Amino acid sequence: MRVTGAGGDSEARIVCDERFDAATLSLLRQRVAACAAGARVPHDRAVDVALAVHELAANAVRHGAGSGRLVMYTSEGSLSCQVTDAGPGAHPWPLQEGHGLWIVHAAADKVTVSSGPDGSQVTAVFGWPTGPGGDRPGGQAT
Amino acid sequence: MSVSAEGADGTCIVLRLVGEADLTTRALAEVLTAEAAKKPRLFLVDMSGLTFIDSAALHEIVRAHRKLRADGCLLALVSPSPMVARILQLSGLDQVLPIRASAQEEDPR
Repeated sequence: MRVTGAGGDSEARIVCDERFDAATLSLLRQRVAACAAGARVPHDRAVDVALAVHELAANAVRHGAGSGRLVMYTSEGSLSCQVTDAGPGAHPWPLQEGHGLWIVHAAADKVTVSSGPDGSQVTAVFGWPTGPGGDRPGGQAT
Repeated sequence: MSVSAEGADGTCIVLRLVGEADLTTRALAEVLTAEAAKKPRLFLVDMSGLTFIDSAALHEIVRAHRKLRADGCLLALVSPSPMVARILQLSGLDQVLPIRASAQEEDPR
């Protein structure tokens, strides 16, 4: 697939591409945690990623088509998580219900939503501090 | 997820959640409703063994909290793990529900 990032087309690297449904939400959480760690997202930020991606996937399962696809890609100190549901469900998705999307907005730096006849797509973008001696992923010396 | 309740005297019920709780965890709503209906003076939800919880499962706890409060009872969360504490913070529920470090902690009232 083709990935276009906000603010210039810097090289984006896909680190996760998973399909999910109600039966695989727990597995999806494990995959997201592993992929975030593999992409060297700091642990505290990886927790936010896991929580937000679950809420988006759960929203697609509950209110959308019942299943969907997650694609995660990294680009210059940020991680984007794109959740697409598998097609038009019974209700427009994502629904603003309860605390689910609230949590996504609180956890992510940026959330974009698009809906079309073939389903809906939400992209949540997570950044993290990369200053010297700060929260650099992996703590590597330069 | 597994859920167990104890507290035979009826004044304090401790609900112990172990594992992961999400929108597919049907048992949680059932047990919360059944135990809250007993109107214990203190209803503790022990989260020390809970590795994950999502907004749908938290919503069930908030529902029980509202029911108990209407009955003059108190619901409190006990020792959430860092991940569970984070979702409580992101959702703002840490400002709504009392959180205790241990089940033995004194009733603040």
